[in-house]
Amino acid sequence: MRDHFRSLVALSRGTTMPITVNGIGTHYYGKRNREFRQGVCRHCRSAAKLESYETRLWFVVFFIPLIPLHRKRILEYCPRCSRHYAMGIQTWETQRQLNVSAAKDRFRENPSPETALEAHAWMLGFHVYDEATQFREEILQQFPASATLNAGLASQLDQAGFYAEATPLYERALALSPEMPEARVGVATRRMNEKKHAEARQLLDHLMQPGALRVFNAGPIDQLMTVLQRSGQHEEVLEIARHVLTELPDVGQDRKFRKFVGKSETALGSSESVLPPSSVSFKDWIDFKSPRGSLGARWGVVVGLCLAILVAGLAIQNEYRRRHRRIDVLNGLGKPVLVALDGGAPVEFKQAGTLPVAEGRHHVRITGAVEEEFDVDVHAGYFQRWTYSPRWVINPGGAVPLQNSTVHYAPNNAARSPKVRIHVGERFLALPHVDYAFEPPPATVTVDSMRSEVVKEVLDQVTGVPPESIFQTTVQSSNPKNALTYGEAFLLRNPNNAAFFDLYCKTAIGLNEPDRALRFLKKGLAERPVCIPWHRAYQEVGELAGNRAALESQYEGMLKQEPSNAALLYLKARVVPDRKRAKDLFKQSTLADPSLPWGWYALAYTDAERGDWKSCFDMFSHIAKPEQLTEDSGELYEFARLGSGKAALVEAECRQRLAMGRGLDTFSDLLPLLDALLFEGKPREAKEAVTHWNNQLPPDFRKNSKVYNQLEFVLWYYLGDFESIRKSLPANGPTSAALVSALVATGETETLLKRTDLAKLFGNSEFTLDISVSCLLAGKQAEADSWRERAAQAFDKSKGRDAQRIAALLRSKDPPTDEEMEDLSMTTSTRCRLATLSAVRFPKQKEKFSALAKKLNLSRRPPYYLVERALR
Amino acid sequence: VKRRVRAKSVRLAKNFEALVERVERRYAGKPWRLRAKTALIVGFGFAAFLFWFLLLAAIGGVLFFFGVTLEGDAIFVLIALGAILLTIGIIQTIQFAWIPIEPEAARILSREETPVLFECLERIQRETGAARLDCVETRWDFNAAVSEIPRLGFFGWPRHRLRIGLPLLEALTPHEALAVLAHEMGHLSARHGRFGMWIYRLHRTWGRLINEFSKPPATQTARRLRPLVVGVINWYWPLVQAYIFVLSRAHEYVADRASSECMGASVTANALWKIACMHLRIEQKFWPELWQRAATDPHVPEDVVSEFVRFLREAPAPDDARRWCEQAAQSLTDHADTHPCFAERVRALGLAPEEFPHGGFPRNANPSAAEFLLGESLARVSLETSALWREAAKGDWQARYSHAAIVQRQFAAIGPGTTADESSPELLWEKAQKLLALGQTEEAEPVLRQLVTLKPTHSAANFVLGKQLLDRLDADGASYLQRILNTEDDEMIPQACAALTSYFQAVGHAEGAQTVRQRLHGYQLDMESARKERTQVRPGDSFRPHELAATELNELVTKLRADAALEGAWLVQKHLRYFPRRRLFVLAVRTAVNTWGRSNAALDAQLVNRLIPKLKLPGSTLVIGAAGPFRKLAKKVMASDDSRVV
Repeated sequence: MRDHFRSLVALSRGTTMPITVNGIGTHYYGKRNREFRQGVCRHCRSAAKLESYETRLWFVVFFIPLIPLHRKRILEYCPRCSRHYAMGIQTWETQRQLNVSAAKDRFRENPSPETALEAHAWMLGFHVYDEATQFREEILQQFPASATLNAGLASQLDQAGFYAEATPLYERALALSPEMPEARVGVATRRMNEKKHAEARQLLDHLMQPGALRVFNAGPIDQLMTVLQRSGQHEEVLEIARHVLTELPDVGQDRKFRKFVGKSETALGSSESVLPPSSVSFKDWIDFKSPRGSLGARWGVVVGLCLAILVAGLAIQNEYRRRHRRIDVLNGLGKPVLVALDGGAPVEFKQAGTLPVAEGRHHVRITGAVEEEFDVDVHAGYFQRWTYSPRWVINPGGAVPLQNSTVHYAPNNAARSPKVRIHVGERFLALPHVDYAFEPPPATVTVDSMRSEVVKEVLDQVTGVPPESIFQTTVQSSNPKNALTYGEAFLLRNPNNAAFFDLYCKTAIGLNEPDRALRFLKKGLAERPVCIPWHRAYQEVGELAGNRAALESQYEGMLKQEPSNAALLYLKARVVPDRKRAKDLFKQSTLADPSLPWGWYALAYTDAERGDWKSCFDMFSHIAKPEQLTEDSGELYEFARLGSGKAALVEAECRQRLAMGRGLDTFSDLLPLLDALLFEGKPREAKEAVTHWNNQLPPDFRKNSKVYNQLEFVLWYYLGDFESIRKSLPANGPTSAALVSALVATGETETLLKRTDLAKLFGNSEFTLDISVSCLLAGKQAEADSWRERAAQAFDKSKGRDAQRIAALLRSKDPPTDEEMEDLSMTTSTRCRLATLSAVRFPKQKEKFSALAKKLNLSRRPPYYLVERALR
Repeated sequence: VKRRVRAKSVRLAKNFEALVERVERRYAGKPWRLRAKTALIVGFGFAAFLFWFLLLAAIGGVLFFFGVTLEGDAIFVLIALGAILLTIGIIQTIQFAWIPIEPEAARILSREETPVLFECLERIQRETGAARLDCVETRWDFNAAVSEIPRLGFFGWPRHRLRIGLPLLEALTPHEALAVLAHEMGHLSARHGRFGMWIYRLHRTWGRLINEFSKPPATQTARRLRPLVVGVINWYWPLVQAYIFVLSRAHEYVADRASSECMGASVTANALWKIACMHLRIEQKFWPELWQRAATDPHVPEDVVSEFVRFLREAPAPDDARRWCEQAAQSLTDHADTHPCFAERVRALGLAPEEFPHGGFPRNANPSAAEFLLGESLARVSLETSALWREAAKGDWQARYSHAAIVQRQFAAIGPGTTADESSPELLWEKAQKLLALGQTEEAEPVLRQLVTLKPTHSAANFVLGKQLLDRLDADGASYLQRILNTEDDEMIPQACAALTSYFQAVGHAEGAQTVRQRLHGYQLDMESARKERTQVRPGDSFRPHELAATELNELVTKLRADAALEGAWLVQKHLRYFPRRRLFVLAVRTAVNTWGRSNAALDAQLVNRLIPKLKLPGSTLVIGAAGPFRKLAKKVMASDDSRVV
C-alpha cells in the first residue's frame, strides 16, 4: 500500500504548484469529484480529513481567472497545512485505470492472497473505493481461511483511513490464526482505543518475549506505552521500557524515548532511572537528524558556534579597526608639509590626505611650511569602535578653521537648530563620532515613527566667513590664543595682508603675547623679496615691546647688507627716531624703487599729518591701489581726495560701488559717499542716499536688528541729525559710540556722564579727549583736567613711543610746540583731537591749533561736530 | 540522445561486473596506472564535494572579510551572514569528514600474555617492512584482517589494528597462521595500506552521502534536483566501486606475494587451501547447525570457541568433504568479494591449484596455531572471546528463538495436512514458509516438491526449492530456476539469476554464470523500458486489433450493451515491444451524439465510470470517453480498423 502511494507521489513530482505574486500567477479554481478520507498528512503528520478532487489550473490576474491552463487531480489535500500532491487529470486517469486493471489481471491469471492484496492496494491507492469494497468481498469469499489475506486487507484499510472496515478483518484474522503477529497487533490497537489496556497488553505479549523486538516492529509497544502513560499506569510503562531497553539498547539514547520514560519516572518519583547514562558524541551535537541528545542543546551548540564565529568576527573587526585608523591631514598653509609619525618616514601633503595609524599615543613632527612637533592621542573606546565613527584631524599650523555641527532632523520642520562648534587654530582635533566628514549632510533624512528626531554629527571646514571674523571670534572665545595660531597660519599663506598683520599684532599685544608674535614674525625677516607688511608688523610689535633701539640697529644692519633695497630703506625709516631723517629715507626709498608704494604712502602720511592734502594726494598718485595698502590707507586716501577738491571723484566711486552691492555690506561705501556729498554741500542728496540705502534693507531687519540701530546712530551723526539721536535715546538704549560722540558734540556732557551703561566706552583715549574738550567748552575746568588725565593714562597704556609723547603733551601745562607736534606720528583723527584740545585749552594759540584742526577735520565721522563747535 | 544517455547510465549501474572486468583487463600488469586512475576518479568526487564546502567557506569568508574591513551600516549584516555561512560550512564539513567508528566487540591481546604472537608479528613486520601495529585483537570469526582506524575521521591519523579470528588460529598450523599474518602485514607494507585506507575513507564517505541521497527528498528544490544527482550517482558510483574493487583485488595479490616471500609459497598456498575448504565447512555446517539450535533453545551457547574446536576435531562426512574440496578448487572469482578465488591466488604464487584437491580435505592442525601463538593464555582468551560472541549474538539468538516460537505455534495451528489441505497450493506454500522460517529446510523440501508438482508455475516455490538444491551443488536445482527464467516477466527472475550465478561461480562454470548475467541484464533493461511503455497511452502510439477470444468478446459486448446509455464502443490493444504477452487494451465508448456527431463529455465520463468496475479484460485496460480529455486518443481508437465492438 505504501509503495503504491509512493508511485503516485513520484508521478506527481513533475507538476508545478500554483504560485501568485501580488495576485498574478497561477491558481486552482473549481472542485469536482471530491473525495474525503480520514488519514495522516504525509507532510505535517497530523490526523486530518484529507481531500482529493479534480480542479483546473488558471492563469490569474488579481486572482481573476483569465486563461485555463491544465486540469489537475489534487491528492490528499491537508486542511491543516494545505500541502498536497497534484497530478494532471489525464495522467491520473491513465495511471489509475492501467495499474488497477493490470493488478486485477495478474490476480485473474494467478489467483492467490498475495496477488489479491496487490490488486486491492492499487485500488485503495487510486481511491477506487467502491471497486475495492466489491473486490474485497469477492476475494474473502474466494480465500475464506486465509488469515494472511484478512490481516493484509485490514492493514491496507488501516493505512487508507478505513479504520472501521479494517477492524472485523483483524478480528477474523486473529480468529483464524491466534498467533499471527499482524492480527494480534491490529486487534491490540483496537483494544487500546477502547481503553482495554490489559487486553491489548495481553495481545502484544509476543512482543514482550526476549528477542521479539528485533524481529517485529516495535511501534505497537510504543503505542501501548503511550496509552498506558496517559492513563497513569506508569509502573507498567517502566516495566515495558525496561524490556525495550534490554532488546534495543540504542533506544536508550533516543531523546524522545528518554523524555517519555523520564515523564513516567517523575510521576512515580523514582530515584533511580531505568535509562542508561546519556552518551552523545561530538557529531550528535551538530547533526539534527541524530536522535541522540537534546534538540535544544543541539540548537544551542549550533547557535553557539554561529555566535562564537560572530563574536570572533566582531572582535577581529574591533582589532582591525584599532590597528587601521586613519588620521585626516588638512593642509591649509598653501605650501606642502611633511608629516612624520613616531619618527617614521615623512609623508608629503599638499592639501588634504590621510595617514594610516594604529590607535595609541603618537608623536607628530611636521616640517615644511611650518615646523611643529606635538603628541596626539588616537583612541576610541572598545565598544565605541563598533558604534562610533571617530575622526582625528591633524591641522598643520592650525591653518584650517573647522566646524563640528550637531544637526537635528525631525518631522514637520520641528528640528532644533544645529549646534555648531568652531575649532580654530587647533593643530590636532579628535572627535568621537562624525557621520559626515568634509561632505555636506543630506537636506533630509528618514525619521522612523519610533523616534522624534535623528541627530547627525558633521565635520567640515569653515567656509564663507572672512578670516578676520574667524580670528576675532576666536579671540573672544574661551581659548583666544588659538586665534594667534590661526592668524600665524593665515599670515604664512597671506604674507601681504597688512590689515591682518595689524589685527594679529594688536591681538598679540592685547593677549600679552608680544614675545610669541616676535618669535613668529622674526622667522620671516630673512625672506626675500622683503615682505613689508610682515616687517611692519614686526616693527610694530617690537616697538610696543619697547625694543625700538634694537629695531633700529637690526634694520641698520640689514640696510648695510643691502643698501639700495627700497623696502629696507622704507623699513629703516620707520624705526628711525628722527622724523626728518625718516622722511629722507622715505624719499630715498621712492627713488630706489618708485614702484614700491610704501615710501610714497609714508610721505603721504607725513603730508596728511600737516593737513597738506594736495601734497598728500600727489604722493598717493604714485600708488596703484592705495586703498588696499593698509587698513587705514583707504581712509587717508579718501581724506586726501576730499582735502584736494576731488570730492566728486569720491562720490562717483562710492555711488558705483553702492550700485553694485546690496545690504549691509555696502555700509562701508555709504559713509565716504556721505562725506563727499556733505563736503560738496549736498545735504539733500546725502539724505536721499541714506533713504535709498535704508529702503533696500528688509523692513523686518530694520525694525528688529540691533546692528541696524547702531548703524542708524552713525548715519544720524553723519547727517548731523541729533534730534533723531535724542528721540531714539531711551534710558536703557543702545550703547553706541556714535551716541557718545553725538552727546559730546551737542554739549550734553552731563547726560552722557549719567549713562553708566556708556561708561565702558570711556576707556577709549579718543572719547576721553572728546569729553575733556566738551567739559572745557562747558566751562568745567576741573572735570576737563580730570578727563584729560584719563586720556593721558589711556595713551600711557599703549607702549609706543608716540603714545608716550602724546600722554606727556596732555599732562604738560604748556602748549605743544610746532616741533613737538611734527615729531609725533599719529592718525589724523587723533592729531585733530589734540589740536582742538590745544586750541580750547590754550586760547592764546587758538588760531594756530584751530587752523590745524580745521585742516584735519574733513570727514563727518566723530569728532567732526565737536571740533566744529569747539572752533566756532 | 537523452534516452540513450539514460540507458547508458542504467547499463553502467547494472553492469558492474562487466565494468570490473573491463578495468581489470585494461590495467592488468599496470598497478601504478590503476592507482593513479583510481585516485583520479575518487578524487574527482571528493573535489566535487570539496568544491561545495569551499564555495560556502569562500562566500562566508568574503562576506566576513568585507564585514571586518569595511565601514558602514551594513557591515554587521555582512559579518552575521558570513558567520552563518561559515557555521553551515563547518558543520557540513564535520558531517562530511566524520567517519563513524562502530564499536565492535573484540578481545585485545597484550604482549605480556602472548609473547610468542607478538614476537612473530615483529619478525614478520621487519621482513615485510610493514607499519607498526597499534592493536592486536581476537574475535570469533574465521578470518584475519588488518585495518586502519582514522582518529581524525576523513583526515586520517590512523591506528593500525590486526584482528585475528580465534577459529582461524584453531584451524591452521603455526606456519600456515604465520603465512596468513604475513599476508595481512603485507597490506600494511609497501605503503599501499595508506593509499588503500584513504580510498577506503572516501568510499565510506561517499557511501554515507549516497545513503543520504537515497532518502526521499524533503523539499521541492531537492525534489527537482534529485534526477540530476541520481543521474550523476548512477554514473559515478559504479565507476568508483569498480576501480576500488579492482585495486583492492590487486592489493590481495601483493599481500600474497609478501606472505610467500616471508613464509614460502607452498606454506602460503596450503594456508589458502585450508582456509578455502574450512570456510565452506564452517559456513555450511558449523554456523547453520549452531544457529539452528536457537529455534528450540533460548540459551546462547556458553563457549562457542570450544564448540568450534570440537567441530574441527570431528572428520567431515566424505560426501561433504568431497563437495567442499571441489567447490574450493573450482570456484571462480566473483564480484562480491575483493579476494580472488583460490585457484587464481595459488596460480599467482606459481603453483598449480589442480593438485590440491588430490590431497583431500585438509587435516586438523595439531598443534594448532592458537596453541602455539597464544600459549598458556589460550584457554582464557578462548573463554573471553566466547563470552564476547555470546554477548553479541544474544539479541539475534533470542530474536530467532522468539520468532521460531511464534512460527511453531502458527505451524501447530495449521496442523497435520489433510487431503484437502495437500491439494491447496496456498496452504502448502504457507506450510513451507513456516518450515523455512524455522530453519527446517530438509523438512520443507518435500512440501515444496509437492507444491511445484501441483502448481509448476509457482515462482516462489520453484525458486526456494531450486536454490536449496544448488546450495548443495545439486544440478537439479537449476531446472527449477530455469522455469522462472523461461517466463519473460516473472518478478522472481533477478533472485533466480543471482542464485544460478552463485552456483555457476561455485562449480567454476564461467560461461554459465556469464549467460545468466546477460539474461539478468536483459531482463532489467526490458523491465525499465516496459515500465515506461505502459505508463502512458497517447494518440501517437500505434494500435492493433484487440484479438480477444470469441467468448471474451461476447462477454464484453454483453456487459457493454447492458448499459442503455452506450451508443458505441471501440476496442484496440496498444502495440507493445516489451513483454507483449501482457496486453494493454484501450476501450473508447460513446453516448448518444448530437446533430454535429459529438457526444456529451459529462455523459461519456459517467458511462466510463460505470463501466470500469464491470469490465474484466485479459490485460491492462484504459476506458475512455469519445468526448472529454481523451478525445484525441478516442478518435484514433475509433478510426482503427476492426475496432468497433458495439
